[in-house]
Formats: sequence, C-alpha cells, structure tokens
Amino acid sequence: MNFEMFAAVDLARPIPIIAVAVAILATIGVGALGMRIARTTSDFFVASRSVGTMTNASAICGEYLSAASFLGIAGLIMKYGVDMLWYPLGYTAGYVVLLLFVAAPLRRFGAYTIPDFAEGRLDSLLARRISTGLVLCISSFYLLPQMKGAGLTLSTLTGTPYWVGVVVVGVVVSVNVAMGGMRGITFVQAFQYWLKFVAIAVPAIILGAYFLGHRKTLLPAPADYWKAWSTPLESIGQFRRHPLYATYALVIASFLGTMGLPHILVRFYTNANGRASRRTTLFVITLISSFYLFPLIFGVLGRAFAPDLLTTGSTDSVVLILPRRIFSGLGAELLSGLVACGAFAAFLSTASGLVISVAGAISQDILGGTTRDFRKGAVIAGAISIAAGLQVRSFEINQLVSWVFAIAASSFCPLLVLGIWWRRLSVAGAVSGLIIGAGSTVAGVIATITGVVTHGWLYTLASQPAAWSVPLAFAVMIGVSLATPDTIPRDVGGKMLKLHMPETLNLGRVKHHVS
Amino acid sequence: MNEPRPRREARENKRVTVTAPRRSSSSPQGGVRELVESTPVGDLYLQSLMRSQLGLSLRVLTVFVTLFLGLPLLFFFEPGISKHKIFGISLPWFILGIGMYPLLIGLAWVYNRSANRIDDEFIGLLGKNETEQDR
Repeated sequence: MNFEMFAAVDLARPIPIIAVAVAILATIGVGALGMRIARTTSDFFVASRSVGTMTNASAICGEYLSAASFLGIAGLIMKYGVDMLWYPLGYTAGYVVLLLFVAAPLRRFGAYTIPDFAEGRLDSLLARRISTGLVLCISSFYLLPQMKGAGLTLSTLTGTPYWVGVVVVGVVVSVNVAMGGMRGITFVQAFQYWLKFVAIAVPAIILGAYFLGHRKTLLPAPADYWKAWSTPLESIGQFRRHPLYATYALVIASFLGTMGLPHILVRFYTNANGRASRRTTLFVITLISSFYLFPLIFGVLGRAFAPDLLTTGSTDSVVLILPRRIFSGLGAELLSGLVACGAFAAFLSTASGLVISVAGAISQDILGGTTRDFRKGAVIAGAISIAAGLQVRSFEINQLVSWVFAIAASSFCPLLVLGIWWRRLSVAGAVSGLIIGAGSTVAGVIATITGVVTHGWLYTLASQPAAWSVPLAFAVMIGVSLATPDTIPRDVGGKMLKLHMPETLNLGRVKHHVS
Repeated sequence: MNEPRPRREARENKRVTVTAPRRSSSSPQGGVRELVESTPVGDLYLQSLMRSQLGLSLRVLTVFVTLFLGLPLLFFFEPGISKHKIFGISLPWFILGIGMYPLLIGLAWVYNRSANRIDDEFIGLLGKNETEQDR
C-alpha cells in the first residue's frame, strides 16, 4: 500500500475525523455500560460511593484536564515562554490546597454539592440560593472554553466550519449525561483521563525525540526570538507591565480556585470516607503532575517548528498542528488523529462534568429534583453551552479559564475554608463575602472584556483580579461575621463534629440520620 | 433532605475500615457519647482534634506559600539565575516545569500520613477513655 497517497489527498483527511468519531463513540459506549448498572435514583446521582480510589482519582483528572490543559497551555508556553509554566503548576498545586483544607472534612460532612454544603453548614436557604447562582455562573463560563476548543479542533484538522465542533460536543455531552448519570460518567471520566494521557504523551515523546535528533538544523537563528521567551517575568504582564503582580494573581487564582470548581467537588462525595478522600487527592496530584510534562514539550517544539502561529495568533492550535508540521504522510495523520482524539476527550469530559453540575443545580433548586428533572436540566445546559460557545471564537482559551478560577477563588474558597475551620462564620458574613468576592471579580472581568479599562495599573488589576479579590472576600466574610454574631447558625458544634470526626467512631447512626 | 443517600447495605460495607474494631452496640459509649451529646468535655476533644489538624495544614501551607511567593521574588531579584543549568535545561525552566512536581507530590504524601495519624491517635484516645469508664 502506498502511504504517500494518503498525504496527497489533502482536503479529505479521514484519520482525524475517524479518531474524533472513535472518541465520541467510546464515550457513549462506556456511558451506556454504566447506565445498565445505574438503577435506583441514589445510584444515579452519586455512583453508590462504590468507586475505587484509583478509578475516582482518574475520573477527577479526566474531568479536570480540559481544553485549557490539552490545548491552551502548550499554546501559552509557545507564545509567552517560561512564565506560563505557572499555569500547570498552579492547576496542580490547587489540589494540594484542597487536600490540606477541604478534602476529608467535606466528604465527612456528606455534602454532595457546594449549595448542599452552604445550606447544611449555615442552615440558610439564602446561602444555598446564592451558591446555586454561582455554580450556574462558574459552570456556564467554564463551558465556553471547552466549546471553543471543540470548534477549533474540528476546523483545524478537518476544515469543517467552527460551529460543527461546538454543536457536536454540546449534543453528545447533554445526551450522554441525561442517559448515563453519575455512575456512567465516573467510568467515562476515568477512561477519558487515560485516553488524554496517551494522546498527548505518545506524540510528545515521538516529536521530542525527533527534535533532539535534528536540533542543530532546525532552530531559527535570531537569538532575540528565544531570549525574552526563556527568561522569567519577561512576558507575563499585560503589555509586559507589572510582571510580579501578574504572577502572583495567576498563582493565587489557580491555587485557591481549584477547590471552588463545582464539577470537581462533586467527585469527592463518591469517595468511601474522609481517609479515602485524602488518598484520592494524593493520586490526583500524581496523575496531573505526570500529564503536565507533555504540554511543556509541545510548547517548546511549537516555538521551534511553528513560528508562523505567533503572527496568526492561533497558538491555541499548536498541539493539533505540530504532527503535520514535522512529519508527513500516514505517520503525521496517525499522530494528528491521536491528538484529535485526546482533545475531544478533554472537551467531552470537562463539559460532561460541568453539564452535570448545571443540570444538578437546575433540577435540585429550580425544578423538582427528580431524575426526569435532572435529564431536563442536562438538555437545557447543553443548549445554553452551544448557544454561548458559538460566540466566543475570538477569546484565548486560558484567559477564559483563568477568569473562572478567579471567580471561584474569591467566592467558594473562603466559604469552604471558613465554613470548615471557623466556628464563628455567620450567615450574613458568608452571604456578603460570596456576593462581594464574586461580584468584584466579575466586575473586573466585564470591565476588561468591554474595554472600559485599557491600560495601566487599573487594567492589570481588573484583568487579573484574584490577588486582591480573594483577600477582599476573606476580609468581608470574617469582618461581617464578627459584626453579626446573631446570625451564626445553631449547633455549630454538631456541624464541626460531622466535618472533622473520623468515620470509624461510628457516629453515623446517631447523628447523621437526624438531619 | 437535600442529599441523596445510597442504599443502606452499600453504605455499611464502605464504612467499615481496618483502623478500629467495629462496635457492636448501636448506642455510642464513653468519649464518643461525650462528643455526640456536645458535653463540655466532648467539645474539648473536638477542639483539640481540629487544632491538631489545622496546625498540620497550616504548617504544610507555610512551606508551600514560601515556595510560591519566594520563587517569583527570586527570579525578580536574581535575573542571572537563568544562566544556570540542570541537565542542560535552564534553572527556571527546570524548577517550574519539572522540579516542583515531585515536591508537590512529596508534600501531599507527608501531609496525608500525618493527617491520618492524627485521626488514629484521636480514635485511640477515645477508645482508651471508654475502657477506663467501663471499669
């Protein structure tokens, strides 16, 4: 068989399309398998808590490693250089902070979602409603970069219009979530992690080996091209200003935002107990750390082999383009197919998790809370994400994602940390902290998007809000709580007991069934 | 009721761990009862547990914050650091791209072990109290 014939058919490149179809069919197939096991309503929602540590950790990673990780980080590293390594590092370190302050207590408390936690800890329906609003806001916002990634991937590799990828991911995800529920999704997510890992590791290793063999002949000559890129603090600030502030803002957002992502916290409820929750988090940190080595390789290779992306501005597509840029023929198509498959796994898995969060919030707090309402919620979430996804074509994936982290870090992070560790948190304090923290962050983001602020310190502060909005949210929550001790919920001692008591002490029968 | 619950037998199976003998009686005794009934003594137990756990978390966090606040400062005040190399990779690239990850995993591992030990000691303390009261 003549392999060159494949390369000659330039417009009809079938392998990436087949690979995307395989990713989608595998997702649906594994989900259908899970559905056969999901029988009762509680099975449907929380996967029976019978999911093993390794499966659960893989599922968390599968859900967490999104378009931003699979495509965005390599693009950023290629474009801006060493400073962008803070992104993957922060995304990983966020789990360490989550482990230190949230993982075990939240599981022991038995709260399934953040609104559940807000209501259970504060006995306040208002706190629940505001949290639900924030879950909808954060999840919908986080769906946008996934949709953009899907549109971009299909159009880059197969030449279809941008909207095709958006619609495909939106439909597949909402139907799959509606049909499979959590049980199906847990296995799907675990499977997605390993698919993504193989899909980025194998091409990175092959391309990297090729690069090492041909380094001398391929590097572009001008030294300037590499110098600022490889020096810390040279390109992180907007317009190369305030690099130190920008670094800290990024680190704080990714550190503290991870614990506030609604679709991630849900996963911790499927651990057997607090101790398993800690062990799962440790596995997650290990799995994510191993994944992030590979976007780094793609970023460096992109700088060497695809400098034209810097002028066209489409650095988000570097992972997709590189195989065809370096190789040709069947080898290039196979590697392209592999990355396309992994990229779609990334969109499908993260979008699934987000659609579950949105559907859960809609069904529990707006509709009646039955399984049928959950299905309705999934379809609504899918429709919204398709409609919005069509509008965000021109945004950089990681810019969108870092805003989501900033909002989560300045609202849910103080709620969780203070709610778990501080007895004097009051309803008024929590509510005002959530509103002011999230509100000021969103205001900064809107001011940036609409072009109200365009330069100077004000722009830096508005476009990278986490470094001031997180301390602000904590300060408001603590200050208002101290001023309103009359709104501290009753029986804080009992709630603290539930949060911190090791399960083996068998409190469950006495305490848990009262609520 | 805002959280769906799994079936009872699934729960029971998962709840049993190997760290402490399972209690046969359905009403808790001794130290456990103090906790459940929120007596002043029980409250002291709980506070000591929370203080130990929070202290551990804050200690690990300090290591963490020092690293993450310190590294940008190091790069800021010591730009020459890029000239140093490890395995042919310039130092900032090596630290941020590779070196920090094993450190994060190590910190998480150490924390896990210590946090579980605090839980175990607490369980042991309550268990001992219980037998004393039984006598």
